[in-house]
Amino acid sequence: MRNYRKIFLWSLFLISTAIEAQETNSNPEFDLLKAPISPASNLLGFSQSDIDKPTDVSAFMTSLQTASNSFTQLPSNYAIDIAPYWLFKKESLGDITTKGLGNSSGKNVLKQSLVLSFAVRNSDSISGNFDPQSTYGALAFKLTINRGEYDQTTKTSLDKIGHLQKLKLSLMEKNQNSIYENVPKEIDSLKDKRKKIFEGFDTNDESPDNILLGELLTKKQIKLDSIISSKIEVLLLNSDKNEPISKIDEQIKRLADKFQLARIGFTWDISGGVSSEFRNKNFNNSKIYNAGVWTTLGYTWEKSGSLLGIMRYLYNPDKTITPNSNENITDNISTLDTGLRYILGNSQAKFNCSLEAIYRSILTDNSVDPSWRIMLNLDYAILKNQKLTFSFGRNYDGTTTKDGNLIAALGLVFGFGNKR
Amino acid sequence: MGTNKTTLDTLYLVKNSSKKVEIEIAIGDTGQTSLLNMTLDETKIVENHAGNLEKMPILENNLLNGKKLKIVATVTDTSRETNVTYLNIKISGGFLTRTYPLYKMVSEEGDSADYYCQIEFYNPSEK
Repeated sequence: MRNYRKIFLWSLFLISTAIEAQETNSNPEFDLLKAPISPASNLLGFSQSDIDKPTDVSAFMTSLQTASNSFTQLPSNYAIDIAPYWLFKKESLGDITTKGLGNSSGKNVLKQSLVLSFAVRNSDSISGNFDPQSTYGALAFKLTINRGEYDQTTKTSLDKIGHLQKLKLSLMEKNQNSIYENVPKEIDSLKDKRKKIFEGFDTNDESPDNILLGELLTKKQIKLDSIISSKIEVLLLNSDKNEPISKIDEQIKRLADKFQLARIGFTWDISGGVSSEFRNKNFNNSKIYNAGVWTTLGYTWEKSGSLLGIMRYLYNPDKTITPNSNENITDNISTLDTGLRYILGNSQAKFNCSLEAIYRSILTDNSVDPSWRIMLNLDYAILKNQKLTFSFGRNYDGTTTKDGNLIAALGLVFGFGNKR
Repeated sequence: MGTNKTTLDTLYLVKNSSKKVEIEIAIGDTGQTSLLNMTLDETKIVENHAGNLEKMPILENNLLNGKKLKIVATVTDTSRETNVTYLNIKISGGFLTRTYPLYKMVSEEGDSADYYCQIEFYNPSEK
């Protein structure tokens, strides 16, 4: 009975959030948390998909997942992903306007796309070599080498905004010139007073004492700068030349408040990480569970979705496997995964549907048959920067069975810090 | 106005040397769209420049006394993350390196912030 009540409450929550999302649609607001990125949860086998679509990242993102016991437990698997560049914004960020963010590759793209990922998995049954007595933790990274270019909608909007801004700048220059050509006497006398601060001061003397004096006089100057600037600002704001500027602003606003930054074209990501098993949930009793590096190459079309390919090397120490002789053995094994994922949905859609298939070859042991995974993923942006995800499919072969494990999982992803 | 600062009128001290005075401008915040023009007296030295302005020379110190550098810039809020816009001007090569931070929080998505600056180069030794 308790389970039915919880299912009912969850249904209510989902319906209410869906309604809220529809209400939000009436406002021109979008979010761009296109795909959860969590390389650490990839290592621990509970990510929504194994092949991630490259995306502009959130500063801070969490994902929770529980597939067991009809949501009667707290989420047992969770991940936190941080983008240090956006989370710890420094003074020298480089060009972060739409002009700078338009670069597909380069040093800034590497810095901006770096994601550090942390994940924890608690398993409630023996599946995929996960021991229910243990807790698993993973640490991983992800870097984007090429993040694609702006889609045509984005480019067209930016071109139109740029054209209007160009017209506006010429009007602003006329406004500025007309104000400075007719500066009131009050402002002129303040400007003279400002120059008098430096009377007798020699800027060619670079001795420390003179520089210190210059700094002190500059502080005095800043006070007058502030008064003069405020008076000029009032004149600029009240100028009759502002009317055509305001009209251009209205046109810009109509384009800008619908603006969404979306990317298409060639994309290339590199990820890697290591995970540990904490036996008996004891911090001092741990061993490496697996470690690996992988790369994802892809192409995104404006309307017909994205095609992504992955190649992944994983090292699994002390892994229990079932060779063709059907007797379980424990060995250090290396695997090579190759796979494809197709994501349906245009680059600015709220709903995404994808199908992925991955083939796993065992590199270190010829007696073990290759394995495979096929997964259907659905995700929907329920609120700004929040996604509800659903996965269904067959996982790689488990420890003792060769039939593959069924996966049916529901997850929630929260992005914080931005909605790019 | 209030907590916004979009207009700058200031003096920048120059020397008698032939060293060049340089300027760089950082524009933000994340995801905003900008355009700027820069004029030295009647000569346009930067026209319709989008994004940050990398460090560039203006003129030698000894040629700048009395000249006025005018900057007009508009920053449109195309970011869904923030309504903050800013324009940080840094001038170096003269008597001191100076930074001039200007900023405005626009009230609605899609609004634009307009920045007007005039920097007069001044050498007190030369009248």
